[in-house]
Amino acid sequence: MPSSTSSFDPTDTPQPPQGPWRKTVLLGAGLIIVASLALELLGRGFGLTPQVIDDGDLWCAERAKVRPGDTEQMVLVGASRMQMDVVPEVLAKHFERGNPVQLAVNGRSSTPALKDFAADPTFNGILLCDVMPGHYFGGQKEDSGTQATYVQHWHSRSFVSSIERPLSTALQSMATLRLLGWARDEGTQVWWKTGRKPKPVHVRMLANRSIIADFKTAKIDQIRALYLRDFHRAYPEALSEDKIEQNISRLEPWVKEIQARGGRVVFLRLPVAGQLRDEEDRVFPVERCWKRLEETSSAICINFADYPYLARFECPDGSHLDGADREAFTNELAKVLKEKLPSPANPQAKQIATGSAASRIPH
Amino acid sequence: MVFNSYSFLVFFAVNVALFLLPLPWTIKKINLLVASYLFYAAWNPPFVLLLMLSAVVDYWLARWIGASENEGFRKCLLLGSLIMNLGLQALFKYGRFIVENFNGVLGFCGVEEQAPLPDLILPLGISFYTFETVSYLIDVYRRRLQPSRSFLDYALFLTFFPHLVAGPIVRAEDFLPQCAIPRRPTWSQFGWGASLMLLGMFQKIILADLVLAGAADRVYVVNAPVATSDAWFGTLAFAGQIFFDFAGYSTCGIGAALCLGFALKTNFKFPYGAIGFSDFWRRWHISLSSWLRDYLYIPMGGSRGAQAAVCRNLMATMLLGGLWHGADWKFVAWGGLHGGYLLGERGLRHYFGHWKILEWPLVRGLLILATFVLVLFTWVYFRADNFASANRILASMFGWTTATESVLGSARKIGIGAVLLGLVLVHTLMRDKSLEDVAAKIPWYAVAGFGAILAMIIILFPGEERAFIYFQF
Repeated sequence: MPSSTSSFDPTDTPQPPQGPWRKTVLLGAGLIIVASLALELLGRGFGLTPQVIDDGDLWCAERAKVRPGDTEQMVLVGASRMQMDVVPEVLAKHFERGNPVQLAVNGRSSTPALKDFAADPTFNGILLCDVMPGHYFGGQKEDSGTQATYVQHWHSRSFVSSIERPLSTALQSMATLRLLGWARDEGTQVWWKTGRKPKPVHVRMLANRSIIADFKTAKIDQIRALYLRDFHRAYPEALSEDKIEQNISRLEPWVKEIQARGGRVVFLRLPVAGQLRDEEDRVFPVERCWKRLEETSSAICINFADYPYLARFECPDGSHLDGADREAFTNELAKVLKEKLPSPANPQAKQIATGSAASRIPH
Repeated sequence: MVFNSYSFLVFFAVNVALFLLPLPWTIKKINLLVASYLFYAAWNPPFVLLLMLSAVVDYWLARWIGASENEGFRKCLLLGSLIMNLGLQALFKYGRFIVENFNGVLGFCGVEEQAPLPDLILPLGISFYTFETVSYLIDVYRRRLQPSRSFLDYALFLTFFPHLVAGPIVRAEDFLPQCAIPRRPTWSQFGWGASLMLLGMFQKIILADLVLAGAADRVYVVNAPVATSDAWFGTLAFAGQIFFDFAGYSTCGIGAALCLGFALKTNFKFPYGAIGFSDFWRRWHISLSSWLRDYLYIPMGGSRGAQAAVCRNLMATMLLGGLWHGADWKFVAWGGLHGGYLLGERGLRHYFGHWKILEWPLVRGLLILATFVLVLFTWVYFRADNFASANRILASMFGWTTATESVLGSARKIGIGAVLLGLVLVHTLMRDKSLEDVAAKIPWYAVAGFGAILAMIIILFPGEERAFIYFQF
């Protein structure tokens, strides 16, 4: 019984155009399958390998693995150094409490995550923070940037993201197809323009958000120059002592909050080398920044440079370890962590280790 | 769950497979209803209860309204149902807005005490399903529609996943008859439905998100004067983005329904090819504009009566239509601008509507362009975060800006210009046609090839994940 005022008009309802739709659907589906396979083969031919694409949902999928009340679970936060230098599976072998949760975000400060864990009353695990001097001493804001966005996403995530993300992770782990289409991918652009076979991307992200680098295929000089340029843009001049002091002191309340619940915080400076290290040390001098953090923070502080067996690893691009070295590095790091982390059986571990660090080297 | 997701692909494939099984029609409808609740729960499970409550209460209210002969009792029931439905919408959607404005008034009057702001989550799609259930109750009250005798059919009408969260706003009179007869999609329905879904996803993922959204965001997030060219191109980008985003969603929804054998009405008919604003509103979000016409404008008196009354009716309808889009005065301003345009057009038609020159193709083209440019100005209020930002962008569009440096590169501007030029041209050429007309003239293998190309572009250029703009309404 249509309404007299209704807009009902049978012509408004789409009537499918006439035609051999069975053949159309089958041909369309066939073309999609053939084209997808062809492009996948082409991508593999270029040496591309499947890799997971990071996003807020993937971060939340990892974040969901943090077990409330587990005082021995390790959570890794930081930037790409944490993703590329530390192997969660290797740490797991040493600490036997399941795989650490990888929450580092490429190129972004982890202080939003530190602040959020401090505010989470259920968290009392071990928070391993990759201290990029710029991010921690340069005073990046906790409410902006990708990591802050991911943290916000965690608090507003929908139920469906816990279904969506495993599906997309599974597909991304199987096929290179989507990578090939990335318009911003330099290799693909070269191929479109010149027909030259592109070089595979030298980094690959895994489903656990770790990144593996193979610097044999990378244009090392270009990457180093890029990092230096970005660093100079972000920190054109040295910061005042007051500013640095202010940036360091903002960390302590968060550390205290976690410790008050029985959790532990480790500030970790991961390897950096060459000109980039020189620049980091120029803008954020170790004495004024790292040493000050060590003095004032109740967290455990580990600077790779203080441990010869951590400092011996090379950073081909100046900022990250090669994929071939990350296991060995993590094994060495695990030894330091074991030595320094206070446990219920050895609550004074930090003090003991600090006091008897025969292996530490002076700057 | 959004249409442009893997989880939806799996969900949809399972539903189509279940629907094709040789099961009794009632079981198929139950499957669809459960699936629709799951679809909704995927966003925030507890709010399914609100949807279920609405279905149960309104089903019985409509039955009682339909069965009663006591006019006073019927009126009370209708009033009660309207208060409940619109009250819930007001609470969740406008609660904070009302309190903020109340506090503003208190502050203006010198009262220091402020009411606490409610912090409620807006249930997804509440504006859409509230309008659907309200239109049903009013039609039953007017005795223009028999109340549904099947709760299952009514619940499915309200909850059917292709239109649940962002429309089209479906009418019971269009949908309920389709539930009465067992449906099995034909190959033509499935094929055309799948084609519409691909087209909708292409509009959303590629055109709205990948090509246009970034530029619009770039210009509108700047908390400072922007260059004149940026203001124009940013607004052009948003005009394209919102069309592709919303029309893309509607097209996907209509296609998904068609794959299951259900027909939903067209929600967009090439709106940027409109000549004038009454024509624009017959083409843009048709299911909302026709709802406002049938349940607000005409009951207020519509075009009958004195000019002043007609103007009042028109303006009130557009202001409320604006407010429907969001709890913010800027949406009211957006509606008010459209109301002003409609009134202006009404006056112009009165004096010049009979001129033969208006039928000349060149003049019609110029009128289309003029309509489009005037619509662009309204989008500024729709997109901007606040009035200050909107006014700044509008001023920049007219050259009143101190900014000289452009934040959008030349290549980006060329891309936006090309997409928008193509969009307006296609809408102009298609204004008296339908997609179905065009597809019917294309060889079947070309349709298959075109669909495959769209699918491959979607696969290869996934872009950024962005929620559909109309979800927030």
